[in-house]
Amino acid sequence: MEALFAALEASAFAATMRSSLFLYPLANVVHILAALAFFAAVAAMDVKLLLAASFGGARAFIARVRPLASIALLVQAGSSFLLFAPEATHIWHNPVFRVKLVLVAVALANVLLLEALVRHRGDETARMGSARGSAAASLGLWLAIAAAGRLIAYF
Amino acid sequence: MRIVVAFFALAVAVPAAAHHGWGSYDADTPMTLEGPIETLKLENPHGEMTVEHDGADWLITLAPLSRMNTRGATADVVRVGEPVVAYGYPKRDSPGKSAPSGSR
Repeated sequence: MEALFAALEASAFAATMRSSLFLYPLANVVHILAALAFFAAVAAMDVKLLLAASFGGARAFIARVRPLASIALLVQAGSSFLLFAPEATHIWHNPVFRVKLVLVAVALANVLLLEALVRHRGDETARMGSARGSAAASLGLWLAIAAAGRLIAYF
Repeated sequence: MRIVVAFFALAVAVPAAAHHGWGSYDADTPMTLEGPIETLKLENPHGEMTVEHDGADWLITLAPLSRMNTRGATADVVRVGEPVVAYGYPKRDSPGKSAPSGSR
């Protein structure tokens, strides 16, 4: 793992990020904007689920907002790679970064759970409670991930 | 003599990779280091240079490239061999520990 990140750090791409006047700040800005767009979309879907009386009311809304969340997440992943590569081995050893990775894994697992709950057609009453719990967890997890991301620089 | 005065964070040169993080620098005891630049890396997210001080090599962390440029600390000005006055915060160390030897 260490060797992989060392190789990434030694790549021409990483060198470009380190020496470019505007690419590095641009990647930072894109990372923040994508985080905002992603959280806005996810929060809209989560709040809709928390307030909806039934799945039916929420499904159509979620279907329309979900693509924005997906695109923002892809942009987020891309910009994170641009920020990670130039000092890969250094960031990899940062404890807060590792916490962030774990949180992202949990948050993505929660997304899969929530999607399964929303898409399943059948008796809703029992699953509505779980879906609300998952939606609330989603809000908390993504906020914690944003906090961890900011805190990387302070540890 | 060209003098470059800037706000840098200072770190005592250590062989192991230290954690990043502003909390690990002591803002209550700022330092001023003077001398020619020995080694230099201008890059993102942070460049670094070494200056000799009190018989030890001090590793000085620099700002990102764009900030260095907007503050006038361009590659033309900040060069190996240039005399520099660096003001910044030392890395917190355990009490009584002197600056480690070993140049970079």
